Amino acid sequence: MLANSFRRLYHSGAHVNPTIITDTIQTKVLAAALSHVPTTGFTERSIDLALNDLSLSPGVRSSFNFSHGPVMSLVLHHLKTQRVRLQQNHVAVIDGAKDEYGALLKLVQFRLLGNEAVLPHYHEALATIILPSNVASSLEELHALSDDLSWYAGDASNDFKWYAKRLSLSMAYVEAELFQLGDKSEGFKDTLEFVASKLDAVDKCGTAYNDVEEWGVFSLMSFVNLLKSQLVRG
Amino acid sequence: MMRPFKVFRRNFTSSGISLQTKYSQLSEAQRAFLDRSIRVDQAGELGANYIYQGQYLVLSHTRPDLKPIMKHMWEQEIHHHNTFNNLQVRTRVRPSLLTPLWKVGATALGVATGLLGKEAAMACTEAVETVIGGHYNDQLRVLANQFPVDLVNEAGEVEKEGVQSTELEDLKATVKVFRDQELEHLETAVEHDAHGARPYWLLTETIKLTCKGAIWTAERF
Repeated sequence: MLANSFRRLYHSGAHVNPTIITDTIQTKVLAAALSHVPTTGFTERSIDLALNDLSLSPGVRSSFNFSHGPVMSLVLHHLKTQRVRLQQNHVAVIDGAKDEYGALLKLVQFRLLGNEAVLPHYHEALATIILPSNVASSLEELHALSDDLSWYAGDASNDFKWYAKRLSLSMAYVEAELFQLGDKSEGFKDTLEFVASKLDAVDKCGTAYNDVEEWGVFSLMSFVNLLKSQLVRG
Repeated sequence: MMRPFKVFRRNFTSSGISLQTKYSQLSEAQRAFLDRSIRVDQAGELGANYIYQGQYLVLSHTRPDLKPIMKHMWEQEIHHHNTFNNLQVRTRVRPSLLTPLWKVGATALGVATGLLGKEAAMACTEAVETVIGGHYNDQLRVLANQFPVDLVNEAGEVEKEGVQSTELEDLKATVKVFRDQELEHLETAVEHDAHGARPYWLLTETIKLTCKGAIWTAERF
């Protein structure tokens, strides 16, 4: 399951695959349904209202391919829409960030603020994505998000660090969303501070790991050199 | 900081067609192939880099006369490794999950064959480069045969069939250069008494089998 949720396929520059295929009726209905979520929540009612908005007959719903049921499809559509929003705004969002960590923090905060409109009903979404039958696709979407965030922040790791970064970012993000559910502060000030402290801890862990590795290699080299010098003395 | 590729667009104003065109999307299978290829090539070049590092560590003490030639091959492998590291980051392919294992294993193989002597080290190079040369050839065959795409204009109409994007042309060119350099290493190894290693057959066949196993694993994990 871990390997599957990390199934980031090759991203091409010359052949662009969109995150959301926008020209199907199903996507249009889901997009319209999202505008009802602030009032009617992540429910089938929102989808019915959307069909009504687009003057489609309720029977059209039977032609849709909701692979995990209508509610989960609506939740996934919200998550993907938010990823597209990041895609479109990431350059402006990280403007003025000092380093990769600063950029990452700005991106995560931007993403969290994207939940604002649906937040009164967000517990319904979270309850849906942790259902056992939905966990695999939720994790895939979560890791797609942390991969996007790391990429826009300028991550260039190419060994085990790649996994460590994304896993810890995913965990920090989930904690931040849970925190956000109960956040009553103005403009989610508390959530933004919370996620800053979480990411700071992740950043410190990474630095600590690198320092220990560097120290280890140094000690090994000095040990070899010590042995060599003793051998030369005979 | 790495940035995504620019979306490739071409203007055909000179040929009288003024609509902007772009390449059609890659299929799931094509992307999966590229994903696996970049990952396995990166892991492979990492392995080669660390094998030479291990051999150099030993041979630079025991056989200083081999230093320049080992250094030359090692530096080429470092360049290959860096190239694939960049490609892996730019195309957002996940690196092999077993990267730490490849590092330890490759260094151990390098040190071990280095300790066995010059002939064994060269036999190791011969075996590794034989497998890698074949692997790159297989990849090139697929890249050449399975990746022609359509050029589509903004209205979604196909302008031209069976073209290949510069991105894929570049990848093919890179793999071709690297394959040639790997085969040069193979030749160098044979010139430096790779066949003099004892037990030659056991040593090379074991290393070849190990490499093939590692390729199979790195493609998937």
